[in-house]
Amino acid sequence: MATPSTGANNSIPAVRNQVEVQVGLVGDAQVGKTSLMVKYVQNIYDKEYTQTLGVNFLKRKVSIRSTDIIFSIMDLGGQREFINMLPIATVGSSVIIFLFDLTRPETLSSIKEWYRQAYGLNDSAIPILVGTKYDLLIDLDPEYQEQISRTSMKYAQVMNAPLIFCSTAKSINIQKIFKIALAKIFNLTLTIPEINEIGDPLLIYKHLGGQQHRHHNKSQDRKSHNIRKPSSSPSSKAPSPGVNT
Amino acid sequence: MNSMADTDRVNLTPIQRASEKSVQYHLKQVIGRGSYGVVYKAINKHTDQVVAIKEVVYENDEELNDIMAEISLLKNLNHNNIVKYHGFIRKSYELYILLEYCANGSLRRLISRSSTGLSENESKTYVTQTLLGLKYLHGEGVIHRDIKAANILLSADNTVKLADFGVSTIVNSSALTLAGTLNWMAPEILGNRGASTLSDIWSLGATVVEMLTKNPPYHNLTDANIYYAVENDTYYPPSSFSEPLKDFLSKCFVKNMYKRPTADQLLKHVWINSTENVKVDKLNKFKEDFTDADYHWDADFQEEKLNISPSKFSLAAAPAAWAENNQELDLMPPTESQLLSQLKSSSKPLTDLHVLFSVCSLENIADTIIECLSRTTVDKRLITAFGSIFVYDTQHNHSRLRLKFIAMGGIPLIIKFEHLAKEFVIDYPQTLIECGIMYPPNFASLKTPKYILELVYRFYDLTSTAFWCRWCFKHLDISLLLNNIHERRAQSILLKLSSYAPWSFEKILPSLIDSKLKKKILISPQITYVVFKSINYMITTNDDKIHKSAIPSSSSLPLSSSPTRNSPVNSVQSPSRSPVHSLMATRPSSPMRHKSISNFPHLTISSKSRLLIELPEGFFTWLTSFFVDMAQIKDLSVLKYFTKLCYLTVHINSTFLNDLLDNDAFFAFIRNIDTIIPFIDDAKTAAFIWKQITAICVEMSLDMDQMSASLFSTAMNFIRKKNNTSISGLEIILNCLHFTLRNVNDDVAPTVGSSESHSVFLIKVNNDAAIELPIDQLVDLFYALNDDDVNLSKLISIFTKICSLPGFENLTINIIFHPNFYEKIVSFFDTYFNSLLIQIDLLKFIKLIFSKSLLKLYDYTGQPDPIKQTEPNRRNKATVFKLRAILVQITEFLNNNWNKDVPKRNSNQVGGDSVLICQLCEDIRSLSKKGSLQKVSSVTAAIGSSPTKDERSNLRSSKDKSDGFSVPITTFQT
Repeated sequence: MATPSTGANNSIPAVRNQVEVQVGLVGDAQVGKTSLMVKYVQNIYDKEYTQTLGVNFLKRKVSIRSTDIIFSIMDLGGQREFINMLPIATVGSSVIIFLFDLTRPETLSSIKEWYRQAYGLNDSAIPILVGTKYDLLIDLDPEYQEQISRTSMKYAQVMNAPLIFCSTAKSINIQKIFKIALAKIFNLTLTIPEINEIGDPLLIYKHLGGQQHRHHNKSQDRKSHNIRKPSSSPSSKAPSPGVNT
Repeated sequence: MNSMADTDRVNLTPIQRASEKSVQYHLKQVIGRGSYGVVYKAINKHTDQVVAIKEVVYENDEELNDIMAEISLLKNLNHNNIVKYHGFIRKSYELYILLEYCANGSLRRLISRSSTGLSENESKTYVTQTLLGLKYLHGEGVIHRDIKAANILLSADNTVKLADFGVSTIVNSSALTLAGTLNWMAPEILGNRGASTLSDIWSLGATVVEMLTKNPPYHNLTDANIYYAVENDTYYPPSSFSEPLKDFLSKCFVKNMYKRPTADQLLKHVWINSTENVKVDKLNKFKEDFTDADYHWDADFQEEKLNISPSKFSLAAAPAAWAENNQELDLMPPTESQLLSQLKSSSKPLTDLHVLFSVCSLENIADTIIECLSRTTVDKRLITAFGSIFVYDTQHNHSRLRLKFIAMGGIPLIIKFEHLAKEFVIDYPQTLIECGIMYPPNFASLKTPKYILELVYRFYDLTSTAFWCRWCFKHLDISLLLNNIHERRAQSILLKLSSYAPWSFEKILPSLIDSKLKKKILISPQITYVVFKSINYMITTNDDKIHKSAIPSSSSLPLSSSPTRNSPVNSVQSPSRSPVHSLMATRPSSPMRHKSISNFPHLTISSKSRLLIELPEGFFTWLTSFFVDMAQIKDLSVLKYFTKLCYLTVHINSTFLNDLLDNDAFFAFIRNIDTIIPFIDDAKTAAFIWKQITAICVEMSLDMDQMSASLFSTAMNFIRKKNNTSISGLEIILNCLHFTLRNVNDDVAPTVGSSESHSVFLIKVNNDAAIELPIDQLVDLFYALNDDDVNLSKLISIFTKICSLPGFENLTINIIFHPNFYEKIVSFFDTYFNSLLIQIDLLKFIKLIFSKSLLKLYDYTGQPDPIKQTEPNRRNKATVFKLRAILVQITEFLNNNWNKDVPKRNSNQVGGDSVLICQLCEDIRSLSKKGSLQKVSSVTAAIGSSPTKDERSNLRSSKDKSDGFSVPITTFQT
């Protein structure tokens, strides 16, 4: 391992730590994976649908304190024929974002299968459950809105995944997805308030996605799991000396 | 934890001492500053609860007791949309009120950050919640008294929290008139008639305007003018507002507070409830902005230091790029001292400010900058570098460095460096001013107009008006001001100077009318508006002053008085005059050969003041050049001030009246207004514009030295409108007729006469052309106006005058034979049953038209002395018969009108015992008797409306030529 000792033994904090975080986007066709990625990275929203052939890949840098975080976002085409490329989007990802279309309940049901598949390839990544097209959801019957909200909350519980409703078209909760991802990866405390009201664009993350209580039924591959968990990784058990004051 | 100690210690020392004693709250930074004290963010040391603490300095114990009693009451209030009072801490001279902390600051801050104000949908969420808060407060019997965006706070999840209710009014009762809050105040508060919960509704309306336009209503007015505007003017919302919103605002701004809706009623208003918007609201509410700041996530995470290091997680399948990144990470970061010394050297400027801010403490950066600036000579490159540091601080660092820099006393060092000073102008103008930037040598070093104007504008708030005006006189470059008139600050300054500084007339006006500036003035209606408005101010303030000093007490008529005063006929409405007097006043002047205006006493006054104020050379040309440009302008307020200015101008110098009369563009301008106004929904301003225009036209008609066809046709247009302008049109026609008559040359043909068709009068302009005055339009007007029109009495007076002119018998006959004549007369008397003066005028009018008509019909044969004539011409016999029948009908009505014994009469009818009314009725009655013409002629002579003998002979000779009046009745009834 190329030790990323960032001036570790110096008393002055490293100025520009740089950390790359891979994020995978999976979910049924036309739920808005590519839109979300393009919106987040380039702040562009295009109504037209373009089918993703295979995997798209974009990067975006953000800064927090003295660290630059680079999100490498992998977006997998939703059609079944691309399922063999799932490893590209999942293996190596710290976060896997499972997307479904809030106006199409069947896309939420598909999440079960996506989760099973992805989990088989990478069981240490943090899942985030994202409902898309919130701007269209609020046009629908309030009863339906309530139903889909409750069901997705249940899914989020089972997956132990933060739940976010977003709208790419209306710029709702797009950046927050990635902020939550970062908070979960590095166990940081995010100050963004949750949104719990049914009918609002839900943003529930505080008690979900925690690494200690990761729920899973498969216990094999525990080893690789442990390696990936920061708290159990040997170098971080004693917090890296240089970076901490 | 040392997190709180590193900021604001300088400011906080006394407070921290106080809080240490109580050992309960840890004060952090200042979050607000009001007129009554400072507000801090604080943390309860035991519970970690974040609160806001407001410091109130009190003067005596009674006041304190009041406040404490009030707070213990307010503590009981609990609602999601009001700021919770947690209690208070009392110190020897200060009181600390503990309040709910609102993380997202005030709505004012939100508004000032937006470029053009909030959208209606954005604002709706806030308005709804504000209403909910108000509804609760009002239900609990609490008047907020100070609703404005600055007092509407937002919690972390953007919930509205009303702040500063109750207590602020106690603390503040003596300071209620503090500048800046008048704009939100209801008229009953300004007028000191007692506030109610409905006063808050008015303020809410003002706040809605503030949210959407960034400013409350009347923000461009001075305090004294706001008082006036709030009490008297109607607020007209910008046309961009939606109809439901306009309705919402009009309900908030009802002057009579008892007619204003309650908060609960407003919550049901369409604007609040339109369902379409609930959705848009929600989407907007949760919308994220994508800006540069989104790359910086510092604010979203609580951790002061990140435990992030790449080693923290080791990816099994790390991307290939990973190793390359590590190369960079091995670089040693620069140390604080390295960075600071680099900051000092001018040779190698810092490029990565990000690094500077993350490594060095703000105090050290500020200190280093101050040190560098204290040197006797400062390298220009350093100034540039410091400038960009402040820019970075503003954009990415929440201005923390700038605050630190101010606290550490850096401002005095930068006021001579404009490049640095400009970074403080917008956010901290007061600090700059307090540190002496307005001191003339310092001020002179400023070059950028934008910042100069901003500072001058802010200076006004910090000094007295008189001082500010004097200061501007000496130090403000007028050409700079005018060349930047497109800047809003320049506009505000210009308006202020023009309304307060008497020298603006001499010093600014001449430069303002420079033709080079004209293009700039026309860039936007806003600029045009400001320019015209300020010239109006300049002239009126100046004139008022001169006027008062010149004519101390004899006349209190200001020059800018309402144009109605110009019309002598208006005197019938004046209750102070005795009936006899008004009888005299309505006597029309005999044809005046001399251009005397003695008939119009008000003009003698203004003609005096004309000498006292002299408009700069070229002003009139400049002003009239705008007539053409105005064709493009659809903005009523621009037109309002433009026409007002035109009116003032011709008032100041009457020679302009004649110039204007020859100016075709002026008449084109009037026609143009006619095409614009119907599309604008602002009746009051439109009426004002017409009032100015008609006033100008009326004065022109009084003052003209030759007959103008344009003026005449404009007047006819007014008449055709059949509204308030028609009266003025009629007045103009009357003046034109007077003019023509008094300019009759004995040896040429008379210039007023009827044409062959008997339905028009011809007025000769010169030897070749004549203008037609169609009688039926005058008759139409007489019948078109409503009986209860306030101008009706004026209409009667003018008609009386026109009818009394020689040659207008045709008109009187036409009026009498109109099918509605009787009903009209009856309804006049019914409407004005309680006005003695108007009844007398009406009776005079009736008497005049009948006597004139009879005289005419009897006189047809052309016998030289009508008094001897006892029988009408055969051809007219039927007409006379019919006329007498109508006269009998009218007489009968008059007999009964004041008779108390007749049932159904209005019991409040006045005038029954009036000698004048009795006499007039008797006169009219006698007209119906045969052989009464002797009386007729003597009576008409007594009223003074009968033409002189000369005129009559003139008239007769004209008739001989035109052979008029053959079968009048048939023509009249078409």
